[in-house]
Amino acid sequence: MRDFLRDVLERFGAEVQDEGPVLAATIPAEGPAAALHQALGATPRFVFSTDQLEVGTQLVAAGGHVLRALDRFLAERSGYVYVERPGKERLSLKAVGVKPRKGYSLAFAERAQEPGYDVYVSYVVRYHAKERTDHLETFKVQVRPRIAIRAERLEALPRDFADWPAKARKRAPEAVMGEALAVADRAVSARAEVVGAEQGEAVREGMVKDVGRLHAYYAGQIAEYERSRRNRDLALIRIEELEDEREVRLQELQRATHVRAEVLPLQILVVEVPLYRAVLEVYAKADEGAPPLARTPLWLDRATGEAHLSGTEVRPFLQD
Amino acid sequence: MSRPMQGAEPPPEPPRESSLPAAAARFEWLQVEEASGPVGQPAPEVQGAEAQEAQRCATCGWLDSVAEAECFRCGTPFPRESAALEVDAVFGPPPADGVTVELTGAATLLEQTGKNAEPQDWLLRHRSAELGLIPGFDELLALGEVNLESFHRYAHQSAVARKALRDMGAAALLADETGLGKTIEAGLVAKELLLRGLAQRVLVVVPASLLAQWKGEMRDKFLLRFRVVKVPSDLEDDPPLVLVSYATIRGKKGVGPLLREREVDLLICDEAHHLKNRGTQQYRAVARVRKKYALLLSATPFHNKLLELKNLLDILKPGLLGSTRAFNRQYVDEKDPRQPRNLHHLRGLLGEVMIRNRRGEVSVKLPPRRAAICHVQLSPGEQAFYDDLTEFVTGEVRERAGEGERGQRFATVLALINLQRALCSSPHAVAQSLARLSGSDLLPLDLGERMGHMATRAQGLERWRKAEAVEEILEQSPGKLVVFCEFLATIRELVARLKAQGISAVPYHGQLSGQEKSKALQRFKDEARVLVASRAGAEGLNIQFCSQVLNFDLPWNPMIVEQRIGRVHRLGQTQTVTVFNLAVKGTIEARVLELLTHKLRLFTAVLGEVDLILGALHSERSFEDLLREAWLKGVSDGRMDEALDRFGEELERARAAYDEIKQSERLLDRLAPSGVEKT
Repeated sequence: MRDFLRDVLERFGAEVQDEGPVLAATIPAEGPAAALHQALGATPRFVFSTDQLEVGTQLVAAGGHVLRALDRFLAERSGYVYVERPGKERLSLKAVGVKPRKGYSLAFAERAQEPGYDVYVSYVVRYHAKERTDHLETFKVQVRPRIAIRAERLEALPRDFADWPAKARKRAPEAVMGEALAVADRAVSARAEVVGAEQGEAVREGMVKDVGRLHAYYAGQIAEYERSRRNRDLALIRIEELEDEREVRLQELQRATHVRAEVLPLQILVVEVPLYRAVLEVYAKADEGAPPLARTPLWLDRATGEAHLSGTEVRPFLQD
Repeated sequence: MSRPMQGAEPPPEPPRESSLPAAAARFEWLQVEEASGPVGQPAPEVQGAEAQEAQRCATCGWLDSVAEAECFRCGTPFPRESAALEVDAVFGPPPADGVTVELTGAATLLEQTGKNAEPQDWLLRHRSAELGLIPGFDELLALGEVNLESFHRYAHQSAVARKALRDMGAAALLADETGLGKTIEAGLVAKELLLRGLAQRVLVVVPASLLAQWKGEMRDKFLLRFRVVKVPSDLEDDPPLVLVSYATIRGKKGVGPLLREREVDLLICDEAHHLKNRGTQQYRAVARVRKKYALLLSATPFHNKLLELKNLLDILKPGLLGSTRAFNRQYVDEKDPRQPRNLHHLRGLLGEVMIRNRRGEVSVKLPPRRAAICHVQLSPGEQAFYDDLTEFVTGEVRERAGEGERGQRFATVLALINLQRALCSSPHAVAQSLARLSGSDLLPLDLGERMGHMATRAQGLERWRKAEAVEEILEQSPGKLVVFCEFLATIRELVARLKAQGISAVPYHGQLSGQEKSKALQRFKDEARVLVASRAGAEGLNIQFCSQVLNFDLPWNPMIVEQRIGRVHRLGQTQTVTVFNLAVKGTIEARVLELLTHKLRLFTAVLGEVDLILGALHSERSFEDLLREAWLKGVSDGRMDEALDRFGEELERARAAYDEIKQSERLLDRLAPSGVEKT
């Protein structure tokens, strides 16, 4: 937390000093940090534990006002990043990792250099149940135009993109982005449903005892009034009241088992991936001049050397 | 439901495959009740409906209904499987729509973002989001979001809030001893739930006498702006934070039914012993409120019977202590309804929902305080003016009692009462009030002129006995002194007068800017001997370095007097605190002081006790309102002494009722599990 705060403040021109448990800062009123100056003051003093809080200090804690102010500040300048991944790999059978069986030959056709995109979309998912838990989810959507689009959930964020050339004005084609973001949205929704259902189940399990007691209690109370020798009309009124009350309590418990997952997009990172697109063709050596026996589109990632055949037509003619 | 079922046979074992006749393999076996007879044979006659629903305790062998969550005899929980079936029986299987996903599509980001960002900034934001993820309740966000100027953190209060949230699912009875800050604990829980987005709508129910105090504390300490709701129009714009009195919520007409039907996230009931009797309207009203979380606050949750405690807990967790009959049979002494039985088991159950700290367990150690009344005799000139003005006010009140519209009448009476109070403060304050009133549209022209004359007369008074009394006190009691006044004119004149006497005095009031206030406070700390402060100016003031307080004039609200003293008598104070009060003989102020001192025992009560005594007044109106009513009655029929005596008797009764209630606290100490963990 402390390192993060220091990194942010220093990056935007503030001076930071360690004073024991306190991190003291001087934030200039002008320049990129002006908004921070306004939100946190000219010379804020930060502490990181409630035990160190005193008048004149500000607590830095998850969900607290300092982090919220920093987050608002950063949100304005970090919604969308576009970087180009450098790549030098050349298209060759070796690079693609294929060898023909005896009696066949392989050739590339329809060669083209065309970018693909790795679109990283991060979301904050807030699960509201009896308690609230927040998750940060990042999905990588691999877009290989006209070949493949698939999403995977990442456990950790790739950090090396910060070294790749960032483009201040460039954007991925609208159609690509529309499709990628829709895929990411579907993936995060599915994930939220799974996690939410798990949480709902946990709440239900947690209230086993409460429900048992509640059920027994109202049944017992009502039975006591039914057996009561006091004024029958009063007893009936009281029984009705208890039944109403039981309904209210059950509704309360039912309400507590429901989980609301609020999915909010956080940021987008687009990595332009240099690709070779081609079609791999198989020819019979014995039948020179004949049309290819099979064709399969492929792409080669020029940065990583990763290759992908998007069909199985040529497989029977390849060595294992 | 009749609980004990000893004597019933345990459910028979289901038939084992190996014991089945060979031909049985040809049959398709249907699901049958466990209590039915062996498969393939006619089921034996069931011994009674209950026999089918039995479960046996693995620890002691007790046979009980499957509806029970734990053994009636030894408290061992029954296996979860049977209870899990119970959940499904009540709720049905988990609903397919148990999760609502509210998605804001990522495409909205594209619309919002302008130019592309730097990768480093992108990574910083990602770190920010990671760090900002709401953690568990071990770390209270609320502590970083309170107003540190007026909030002093006590370890036990955060520990209580944490325990209530983390271990009790924010369904708790906070039963700390008086003065340990149950309001603060509840405020922390409310703030925490609001910050985390777990609660949006909060309903606080308190005795009428505490409405203003709650509103002020929530605003000053937690920056939460509650709305006091009294009539239906107060709810028109659906305020999220609502503060009501018990009288309001139980009302059959007006806003009461609206409040009861309103679904809230958090319900807080202060002085919750008002809900001890489940037959009362207010109990039923509160029990009807649909809530997600609930906090009940009471240092004395039961008074006459242990059953009262159970009634309270039935609001929090119905069934925790079983049905009324079962509770009485199992946990209440047959001869004395206040004495518990099966203490160990009862304590275990109470530990699920009740938190109680005692003064000896927590680190709130305040030095003693003492109080003195300085009786002052007005000078002949002052006395004559006091008598004339009082006669004038009395006459006006009588004359205007039936005049004008109700609102206007009330405003006139308030203005006259204020005049009477200003009169007790200083000639300058009354002169200013008179001058202001003489130009007001509120009063007829001729009256304005008379007031103008009175103002001139007040300005001409030569002596000011109360100020002389302050000088005497300063002469006799060395050390710094905080003087609290109600009127700005009094503050200004007193400071000027003290300065003229060579006594360094600093004014401190609501009209000073924040910077001026800080400077004034610093001056008082460094060099000045006297700080002359107003009520508004003194809010949130911490002046533990001074140990003497003087109530120069007296607000008609005992809670404000407590707050004044609290500026000095608080954590960090190392010396005995002395509270001086000026009582000008023969004035209404002297009578009010007498009520506060001798009937309410305001200055000698343990911190927080005054709330409880006022709560025991059994009135839906505040102390200030009751006092105003008594004053008005006294003025109207010319029997002021009798009216105030009657009010004093009411206070005495409340005090006696409280003393009796206090006895139950000792019993509660036996029941309450030990205090929360210390941090």
